[in-house]
Amino acid sequence: MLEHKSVVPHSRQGYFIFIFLVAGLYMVYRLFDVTVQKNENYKDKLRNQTTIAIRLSPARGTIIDRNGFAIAENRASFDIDFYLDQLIRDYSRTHRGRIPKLAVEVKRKGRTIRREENDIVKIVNESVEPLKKTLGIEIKLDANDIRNHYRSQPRIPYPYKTDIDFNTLAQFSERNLGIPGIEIGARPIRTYNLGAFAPHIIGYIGRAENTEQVDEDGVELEFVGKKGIEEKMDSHLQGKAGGKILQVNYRGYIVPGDESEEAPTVGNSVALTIDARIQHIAEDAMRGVGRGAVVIMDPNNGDILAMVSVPNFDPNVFIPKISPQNWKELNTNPTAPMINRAVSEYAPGSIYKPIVALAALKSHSIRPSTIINCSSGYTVGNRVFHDWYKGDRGPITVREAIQWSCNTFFYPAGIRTGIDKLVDMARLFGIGQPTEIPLPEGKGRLWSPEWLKQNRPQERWSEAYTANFSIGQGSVEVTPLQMAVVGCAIANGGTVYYPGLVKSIQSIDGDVKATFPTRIRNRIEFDVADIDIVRQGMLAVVESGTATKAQVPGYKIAGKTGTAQFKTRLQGRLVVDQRTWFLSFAPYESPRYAICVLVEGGSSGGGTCAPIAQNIYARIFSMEKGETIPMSYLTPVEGHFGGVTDYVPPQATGMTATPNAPAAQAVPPETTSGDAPADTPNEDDDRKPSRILPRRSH
Amino acid sequence: MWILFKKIGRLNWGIMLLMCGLLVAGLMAIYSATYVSETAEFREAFGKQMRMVPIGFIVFFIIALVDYEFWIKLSIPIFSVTLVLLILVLFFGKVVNGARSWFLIAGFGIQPAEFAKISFILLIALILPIMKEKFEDLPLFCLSMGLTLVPIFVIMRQPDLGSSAVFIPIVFLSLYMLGIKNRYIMPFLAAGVIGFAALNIFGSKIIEMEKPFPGMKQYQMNRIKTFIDPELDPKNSGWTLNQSLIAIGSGGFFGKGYLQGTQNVRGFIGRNIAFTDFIFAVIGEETGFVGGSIIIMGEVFLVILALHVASKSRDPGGCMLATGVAALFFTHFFINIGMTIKVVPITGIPLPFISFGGSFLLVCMSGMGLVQSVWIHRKPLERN
Repeated sequence: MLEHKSVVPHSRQGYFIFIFLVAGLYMVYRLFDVTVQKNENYKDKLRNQTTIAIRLSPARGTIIDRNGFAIAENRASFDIDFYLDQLIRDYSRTHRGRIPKLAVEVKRKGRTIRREENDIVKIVNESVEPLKKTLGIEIKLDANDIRNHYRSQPRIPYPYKTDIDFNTLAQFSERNLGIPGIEIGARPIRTYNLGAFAPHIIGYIGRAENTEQVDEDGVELEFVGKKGIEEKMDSHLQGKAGGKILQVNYRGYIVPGDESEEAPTVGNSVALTIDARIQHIAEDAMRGVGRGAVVIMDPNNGDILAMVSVPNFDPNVFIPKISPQNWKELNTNPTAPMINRAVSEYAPGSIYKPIVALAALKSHSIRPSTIINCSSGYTVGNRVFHDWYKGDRGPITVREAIQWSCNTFFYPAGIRTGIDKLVDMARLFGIGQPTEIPLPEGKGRLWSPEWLKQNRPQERWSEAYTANFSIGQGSVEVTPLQMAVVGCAIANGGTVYYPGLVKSIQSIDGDVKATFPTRIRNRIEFDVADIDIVRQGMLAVVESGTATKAQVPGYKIAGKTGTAQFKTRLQGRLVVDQRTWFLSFAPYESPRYAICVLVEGGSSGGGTCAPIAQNIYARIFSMEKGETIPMSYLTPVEGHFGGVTDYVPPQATGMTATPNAPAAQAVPPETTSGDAPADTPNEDDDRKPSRILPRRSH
Repeated sequence: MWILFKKIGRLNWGIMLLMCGLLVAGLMAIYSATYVSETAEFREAFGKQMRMVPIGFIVFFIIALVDYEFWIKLSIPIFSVTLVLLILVLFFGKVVNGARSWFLIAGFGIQPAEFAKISFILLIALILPIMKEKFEDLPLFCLSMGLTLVPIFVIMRQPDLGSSAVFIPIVFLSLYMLGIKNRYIMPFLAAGVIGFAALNIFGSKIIEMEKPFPGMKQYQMNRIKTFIDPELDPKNSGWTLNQSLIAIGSGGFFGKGYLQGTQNVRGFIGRNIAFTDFIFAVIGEETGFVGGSIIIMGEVFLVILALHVASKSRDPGGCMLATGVAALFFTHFFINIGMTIKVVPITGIPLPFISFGGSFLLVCMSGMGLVQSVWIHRKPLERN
């Protein structure tokens, strides 16, 4: 067969075969570029447009008392949620892809950049239009809130209405509105079962303010503890958020597909040392008191059984979000309901005297049998220090001195002991040092020559200072919690505890994850006779001394009253706002409770605080006998300035009182102090303060 | 009878193999693109295409086994009929996807524009060799261009830009293979290559341009910009290209597996285009780089084999037939696959043997029939 001649001149097909081949290979190269080199990029895009990641809220762990009673737990809240991402998709679908944009200025690295973002407010407003019509509910949207939410946490649904009532829920469920992106969600929400019950301990939670607040896996947190135990134990209480991946089609509707879900977990429970029943008793006892605090501890292990501060607030107002009015009210209220007075610093007055007595006894400067003449005045250098009692009590021992809070006994006793030993003893009791409870606290102030040198270099320590120190005057400041620790130590014979507040961390199943064992700060060695004489003195205070109003029939209670004079400026006027104290423990023979009561603006320790302690003891003892304590929901205690009297300037000397900051700040301001003679008004007596010292002490 | 077997034995089996392979791949792809559609019309596409395949083969064999001389002689009446149909469709046609391009006869849809392509090739096979004898290159070039403008003009009125554009490469390649001087072809080829390269190299610069090119409207400029970067307007004009790229790009090297693609199932690639013009996006997503490359190279080798047949034809008429079919297939394949992977702007023309469409399948089969006929009859049939 002959090879016939080609009809194509110059074999032209060859060039085009080459061109076609090159074109094909170029296509293959492009295909390689798209499918292999840019694979990840396109896979991401695919994932972004076909899946929605929905966060499943975790449940927060509970906060329980020592017996397992839940103080803070969760209940189901039905919320109307806006899934902003889905609303945008749906809007885009119904508006032919047109999404309203908004030019915003963003500050980044110091430069202001203008950029466009979706006008989420407009989108949401138009999306909820049918909702308004069918449900007839008034929908008010906080434009800024939505915008901020969209910017900071676009993946977390925007809770338009939380905790909707049953009617709305029923209406909403009845009519399927078919707006993708508006859904009812049930999620666990915090609830504080007893309302204004130990709010200063428990604290409260709030929405995480920025995306930086993430858990250990880097998942954004929705709610975080903002105060108290909720804040300090947040990492334990936080559950782990779960997630759900939903598949959507090009319209943004969810299609059945391989859903993946990771269930959220419940956080751990925090068990407190608090006994909710005792806390409730104490809360009840303090309701009438305008401003004050109670700390109840177990002297045998340093557990805090109750800690009350009034006025207070209901932490439920913070859930899920506090209203601006409420927030403003809480923060501008002159009685400062947010302040935890149990750990705020106050002048101790006479409840400090047992520490002085113990220091004197331990240093053998005095003996239990030492007799000192308790006159109406005691001269140090060229000044006369007065007792609050104008009369002459005659020669007495330390027991009677405590019983009658006799200043003129403690001046020489303190001077004999020496300031160094007095300061050492105070330090052993933890005065001026944090108690290390897991809450913010004042550490108080231990007044000492050292402190004077550092803070008032122009003054020099003298015996007069020591005399003032000996009756709890000068610049000593303590917190009610610190004094309760002191009360425990006296009750148990010298063991100073770090007070316990958190007992353990438990899982939801009750497995104990961590315990917080009792920690001892110091074990002060006292001769039995020494500590006994002080305790006998304190017993006498209640039985026949300054605090007879604390008596509970059938029980022996030991205590010590105190009244520290304090001036403050209230609405422009300088007023006297006494700090009245009662530190006690009971039963005397084998103490189970140490109670420290503080009232701002009380008339006196014995008159104001002892009856409160009496009420608490009486109810605790009947509780021990089997009486049930009704655990009712508590409304917040309103603060007041009852008991505050106008300040009458002293006549005798030219010393002027420094103007003081308002008490509302709960930081007792610096008061005039020093080597001036002690003031001498009577305990339980309305006699006006007459001399120089702004604080009187009994 | 022996002559029939002799002819069948002479079929170009390489072309047969590629054609059948592409047909099977196409049927599979059509099924995958439509099996979950809510619309019956789309779901029935696979069945319809299946029924068209035997009809196609009958047409193919009739055309292939008859000497192509016969078909070339019929070219004037065939072309005249299609031209009339093309004009009639402008008045009586059914509008599909914005173009008045369909006749509906007894439930069958017929696209005259598709048949115009094959009848135009037949016409060229008749006329060009004669004109080549009589005219110099310049009048030859001008006359053939004028002839080409006739179908282009009519089809543009539908409007169907893609189909009308196909005629130009057909006539260019035919003139080239016929031996017209390089200077009539090369400038156009060079201009095309340079323009194509410029779009790829200076693409980012063009996007940054605020004003349109001189003589261009803003919307045309925008179309070019969205071609260069579909992300510029992903919701509107960039949507289809963007979704096609996401489908193919997410397929990876081996693809997600047959029937495992989500882009068409979830409607990101429009239901109405997933089994027609954008079927390559479905193939790319499900079979990845491997499957996509096989389809591309299959189409390329089919075109190359057709061109080879052209070079081996016994006369210029046969050469023109095979060349025209090669040019037709190449244009369709290059534009169709090219638009799904951002090589050329989007123009709606189908992928030979793969895309759904009865008319186009018949055109492809008859085209291949002509090529086979040229091959079979390239030398006298002798009894051994």
